[in-house]
Amino acid sequence: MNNALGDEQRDALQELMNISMGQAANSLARLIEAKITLSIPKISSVTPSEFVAMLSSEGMWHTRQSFLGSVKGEVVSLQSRLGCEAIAELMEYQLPLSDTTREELLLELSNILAGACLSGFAEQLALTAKLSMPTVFDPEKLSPDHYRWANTLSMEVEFKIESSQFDSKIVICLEEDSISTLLNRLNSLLE
Amino acid sequence: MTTQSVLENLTAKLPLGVCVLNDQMEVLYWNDFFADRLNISSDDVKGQNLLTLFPNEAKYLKKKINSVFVLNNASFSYWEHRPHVFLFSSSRPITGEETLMYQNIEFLPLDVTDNKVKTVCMIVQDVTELASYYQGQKELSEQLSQEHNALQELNRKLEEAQNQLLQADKMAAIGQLAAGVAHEINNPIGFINSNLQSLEDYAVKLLKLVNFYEKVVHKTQNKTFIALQKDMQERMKYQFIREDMPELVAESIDGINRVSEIVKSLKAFSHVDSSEWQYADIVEGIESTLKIANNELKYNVEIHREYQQQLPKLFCQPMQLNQVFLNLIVNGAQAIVDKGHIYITVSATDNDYQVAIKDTGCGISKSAMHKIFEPFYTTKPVGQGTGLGLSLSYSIVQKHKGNLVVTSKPNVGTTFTVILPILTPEQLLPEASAPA
Amino acid sequence: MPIPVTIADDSMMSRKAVRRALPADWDIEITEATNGKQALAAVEAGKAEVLFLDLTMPELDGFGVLRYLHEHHAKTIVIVISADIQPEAKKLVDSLGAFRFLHKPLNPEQLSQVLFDVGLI
Ligand SMILES: Nc1ncnc2c1ncn2[C@@H]1O[C@H](COP(=O)(O)OP(=O)(O)OP(=O)(O)O)[C@@H](O)[C@H]1O
Ligand SMILES: [Mg+2]
Repeated sequence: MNNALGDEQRDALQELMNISMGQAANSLARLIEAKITLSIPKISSVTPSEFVAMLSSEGMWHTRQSFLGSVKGEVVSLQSRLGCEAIAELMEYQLPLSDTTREELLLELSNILAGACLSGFAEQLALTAKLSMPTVFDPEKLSPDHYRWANTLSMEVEFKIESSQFDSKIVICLEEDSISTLLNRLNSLLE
Repeated sequence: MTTQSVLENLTAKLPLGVCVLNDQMEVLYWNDFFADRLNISSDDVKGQNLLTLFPNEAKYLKKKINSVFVLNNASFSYWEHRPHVFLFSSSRPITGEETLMYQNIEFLPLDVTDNKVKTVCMIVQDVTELASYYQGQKELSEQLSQEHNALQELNRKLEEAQNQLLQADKMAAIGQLAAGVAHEINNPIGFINSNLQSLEDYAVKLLKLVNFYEKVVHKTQNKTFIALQKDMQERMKYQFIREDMPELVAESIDGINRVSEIVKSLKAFSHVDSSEWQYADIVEGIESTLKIANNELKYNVEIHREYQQQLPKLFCQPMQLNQVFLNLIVNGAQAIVDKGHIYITVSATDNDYQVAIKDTGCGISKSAMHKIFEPFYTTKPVGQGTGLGLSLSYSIVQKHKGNLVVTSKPNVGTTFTVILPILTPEQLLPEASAPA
Repeated sequence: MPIPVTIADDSMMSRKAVRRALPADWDIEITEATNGKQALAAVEAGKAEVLFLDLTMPELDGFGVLRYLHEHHAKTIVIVISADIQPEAKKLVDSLGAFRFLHKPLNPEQLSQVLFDVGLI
């Protein structure tokens, strides 16, 4: 099975992600009543070391949650420490944030964004994917040598809330076996 | 069995709380997990508002459930953040020490039509076991890291102690060397001193003799003799010599006296048989210690002495006691930041000796008071203090069956008093033979 | 004479989706643009009596296109088809004189209804 992405497929994936992130942003915007700026999604095939490099950004908190269904994988979120408090205020958290409430906020935010991104994406492709509970994690402890996969399809989107300098990245990563399922669906959509 | 009855049976037995709500927060269904704990059956609870049933976390529940209705996206609640959303008692009422159930909760969109969430399902999981396990682990790892830190601290202290011992070794070697040199120097000093005394005597006599001759020459009234004498005296700079010679000799005598003092205190301080028990003069010991400590004291500390007259000699380890006095005096000096005073008082009764060393330094806080005798306790920068001074002093005083007491007032000063009982050699060293 | 219509979207898939959603019996001549500048060029060349416009595009985004048209070519009928469906985006689009604001993924029936509303079919 050829898992390589053609131009047409990349274009389609990008657009699908674009639409799902629009829905995600809309969800969040309704909750916090602030305008969210969207980026153009990045679709790429990444190796374990590229994956680790992608996550090692300073000044970010990380969460992850896996999904299961006709496609499997994980969603990793990166959320800026900057502006965290402002979002907390918008979401009616008590300030100042304690370690516990900050974690709670991060998990809630990433769950909303990841949930909306993934469900929008799966729906358009008539796939199913149910997210598990998100958890906080430390990418420092990741090592590319530990991975059992050679390539994953990463779909990265970025949300910015200009008014509070907050920045959040959602990276959806597909398991190797799921990539071909995805491509099949994509191809039939493009016919 | 119909699928319906299988499902009913199943939800009843499920070790999970299941509760279905409409968008008015009214309970449509809950399983036995809830029913048993609240004593309200699923039929009876129908239509009741969840938030009035659980008022203590109503705000939180409302926010969570609302977000599911609005966003059509599952939401979660974690025991780490909200351990007891529902105030249920633990699943181990008899053996467990936890009284409240730890819970993870999932809020799921259940019926969704046209992207609109009609009902939300709440699934409550009892994670008390897990939570107490994690908390136990956390405590354990905290304890471990504490022990680890304590070990590291101990290691550091041991290293420092080793350095200190090395330093002490070096000091001892230097002390022996000094004692040897002092001994060697002592002899020449002895004869230089007595020779200088003779020279002084001779000089006085010689000058008297020259005076006498001068007068005799004048008596002759012989102009030639007088002129010759004057000429000779001028050439020899006799006037100058006559004035300078006694001064030179006096200065030399003073100098050699000082040298012999220093040699004496060196000998006294670093005597090879320093730990020997013998009868000793305590004041002498303090004086020689002060000379040693002079460098530390010279600039900012004024020493005041108050020694009782006619003190008896004490059977002791004089060099060890000197060590005690040195520690106390140096501590006192180090406690004085700018300028200050140290008062040394020595007195004795029939029963004991008292040496009080009082300073006008920074004092010792109440909380530090019980720590200062601990080995390695120091407030001084690394390299300056090892924190062994007082503990060593304490053990030396103990060996003399004495006591070391301290009184202090922060910002006023500190007094250390060494109390030494006057005991016989037999009392002090029961098993050892009497001293030589 | 066929009506000149331009579809401006950086995504090939989305342009295709619009093409497919257009009524088969509608007499039109379609021009495609992949960014905002191309879209404006098409308008200037008289190839866009109707403009289907995406908002997130390189070079010049949909808001930029709208702003320009608002000032210079008020007659162009602009139908925005956007992935960004936040109320803020719709408000801005409306204020810039777009005719309709449709959400992606595009619903063909909704599009037909809009075309009907404008009186184009
Ligand atoms: N006269 C004093 N005034 C104020 N603090 C004192 C005095 N004597 C001792 N201390 C406190 O007690 C601590 C322990 O004293 P100790 O003599 O045992 O060790 P040290 O002086 O710190 O180090 P070392 O004696 O090895 O140079 C000192 O660091 C100091 O904080
Ligand atoms: Mg000391």
